[in-house]
Amino acid sequence: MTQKRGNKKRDIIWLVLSIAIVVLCNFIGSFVFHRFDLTSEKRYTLSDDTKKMMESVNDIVYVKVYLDGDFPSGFKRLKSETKEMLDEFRAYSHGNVQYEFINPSANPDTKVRDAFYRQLYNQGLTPTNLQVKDDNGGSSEQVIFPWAVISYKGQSAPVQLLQNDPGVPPDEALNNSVQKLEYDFASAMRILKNPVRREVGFLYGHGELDSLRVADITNTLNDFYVTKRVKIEGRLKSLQDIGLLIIANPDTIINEKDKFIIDQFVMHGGKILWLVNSVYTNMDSLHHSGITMGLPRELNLNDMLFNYGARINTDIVQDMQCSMIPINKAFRGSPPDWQLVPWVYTPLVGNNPQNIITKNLDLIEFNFASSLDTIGSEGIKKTFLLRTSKYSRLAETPTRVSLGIVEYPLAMQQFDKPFQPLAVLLEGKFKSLYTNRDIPKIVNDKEIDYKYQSPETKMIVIADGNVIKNEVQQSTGRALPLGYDFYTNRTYGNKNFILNCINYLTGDESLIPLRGREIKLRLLDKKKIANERLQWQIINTVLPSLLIIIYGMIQFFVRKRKYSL
Amino acid sequence: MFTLLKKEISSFLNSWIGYLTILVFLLAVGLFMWVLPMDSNVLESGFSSLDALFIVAPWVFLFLIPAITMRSFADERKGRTIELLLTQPLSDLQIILAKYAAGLFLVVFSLLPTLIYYYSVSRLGNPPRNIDTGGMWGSYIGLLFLGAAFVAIGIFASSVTENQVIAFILAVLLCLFFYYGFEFISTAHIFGKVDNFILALGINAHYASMSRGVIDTRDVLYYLSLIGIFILLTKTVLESRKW
Repeated sequence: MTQKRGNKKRDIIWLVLSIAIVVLCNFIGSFVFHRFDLTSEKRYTLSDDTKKMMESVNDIVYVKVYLDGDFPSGFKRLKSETKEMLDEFRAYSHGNVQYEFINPSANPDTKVRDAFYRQLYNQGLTPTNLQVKDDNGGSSEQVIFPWAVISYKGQSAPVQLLQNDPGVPPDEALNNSVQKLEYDFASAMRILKNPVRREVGFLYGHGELDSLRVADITNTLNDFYVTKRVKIEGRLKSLQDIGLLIIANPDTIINEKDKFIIDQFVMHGGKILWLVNSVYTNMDSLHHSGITMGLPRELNLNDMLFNYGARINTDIVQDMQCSMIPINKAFRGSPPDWQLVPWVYTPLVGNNPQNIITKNLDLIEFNFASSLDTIGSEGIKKTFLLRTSKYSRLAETPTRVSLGIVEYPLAMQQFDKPFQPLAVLLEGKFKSLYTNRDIPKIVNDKEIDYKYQSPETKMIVIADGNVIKNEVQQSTGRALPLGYDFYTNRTYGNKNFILNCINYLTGDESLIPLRGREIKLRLLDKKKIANERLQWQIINTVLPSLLIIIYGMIQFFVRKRKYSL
Repeated sequence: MFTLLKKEISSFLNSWIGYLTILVFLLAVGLFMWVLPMDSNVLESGFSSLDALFIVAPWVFLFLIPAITMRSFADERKGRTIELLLTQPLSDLQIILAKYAAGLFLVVFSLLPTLIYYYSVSRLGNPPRNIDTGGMWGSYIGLLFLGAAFVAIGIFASSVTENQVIAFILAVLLCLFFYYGFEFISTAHIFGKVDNFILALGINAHYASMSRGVIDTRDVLYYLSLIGIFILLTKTVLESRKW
């Protein structure tokens, strides 16, 4: 009897001890862990910067996702990918990430529901209308809110889960949205963790692009930065609060005083994104008469850019890798027959995979760009960001630009100036343009706080002011997404390029790699499914069972043989 | 020990019940994925992935695996063959492991035919072969771990009773509780800060991560622990005859 009781005691102690060891192992394992992402695009692998950011979170991050309910499978996929991305964030946040999926349409009472919709709308969450096919072949409309709201330490930021670009088919739009999830959440988290926002200024007063023409990029920048438009007009302090100045396509002379203030802005560590056209072309004239002249444009900036290390030539780049314009091919008198034809003045520039700013970018559309050179300024590191294709050429100004080029395209051999640089990054300590023209009064003026040399700083020079310009919808006057080309119904990579440039200049480089993420869209062949539906249904329901039955019969006969002897 | 393993497997595969269980599994999964007009229907979703399999299979496993394991000890007890087995020159642990391995083998065996789905989806892709193969293998690994955990639970349930039906029901309930119960409790938000911990005790939290193709050492450790604990519990139950 005592022996038995001893056994019992021993066994139970053993069991409890083992369980304690297992629990301990799991506890240790929760700190020392590794994740193997077997998916082919490593789509559940967060970037190192995101992981670090989530590890440093020290309070609950609460995420409310309003994408819940009964909707088509594409949106269900977006929902589950969102959930999985949040799980991934949680895996690194020591459990600090919590989330909740909310169905805004859950309440059957339309009044309550509408009130909820309005409440969300007032938070800046714009709904999307979905056409849902029902079983009877008809369709009904459904309102969904593809948004999430992240709260952290009493602050909250909305995250748009659906990338809604015009001209993108729904499947692709959803896939783009899935690709951008990490970026969307990570950038929102970044804002919440680091609420100090820097100022980005758009220069105006010299014929720069108006606010409607840069509306799309401004809207996007507003998530990370405080944007404003600034006019210098000779005021010394006008650029004081700004970290980054965007000079987008000025078209009149910039006077010496404004130049001096811009120069001193750089000398005090300011960053500049230059988007400058050195050639003037009259687009109205091109549209009406089919012909225009490309003439050098005087902006009074050459000496300044030259001094910093870049020169924009007064030529026009033509490239066989280009986008298209519609041309009326009908004979005179007959109804118009618009056809899209390649237009060599709008080069589509591919990316430079070596550089963080341009890696993984889509093609970028230029329009009447000029070529760039770098000049041997001492101590300035120069990196070309974008180059034209192998098949490009240069037209020296003054030059005739004619739609007629479409009728008689140039031979490929004439595109003999390959790889023309179109954008350059300059980094280092810049010397003031006014170094050798010092006037004692200025040098000693306390208010001016004159500097000869800048600290370590950077600027990007792009030889085309149109890269940052969005089109405007004629009928509504609304800004279209930057990079959207309504002739070809495609969105080019201009926006991401500009955002990358700005993130790089402001030191927010960690966001850049996330933007370039790509997830392959994997769809089934709808036509094949429609045609061969039954065949595949039979294969997949009957064949597996059949295999098992055949195996069982073989087994049966083998056994019978074996034992019947 | 291997003789015992072999005997366990063949005794299952030589009975009509064994085939019937596997057939039911394959038919159920096949219907959910290819025929019934539900969310899990691959043809209707239009996406080239096997995700549906990894959503449907755990629920079918919930019944399939207890059916496979219910006999393992309960039957031996009823037939009094357990005394015979325990007097073999094998340790209790070896006997349990042999039965466990046999159960696991059958799970793998019943999953093998589902590779046909992979073939189908990759043929139907646009363009063909457009499927994330790496991710799919990751998901299969996740499903195997889930199955392995269910087998351990099933073996334990079978060891506490001599009635197969009770063993089956107990196993289903335990599997369900571990699979979904903890998650259910944690969503009720009654334990405040401990919610996350409770969630992590359940299988689903670990399975969800693995089934999309991410193998996390913490999830693997969780499964191994769960399996280890249930095997230990089974061993303790067997040992208790000496109490």
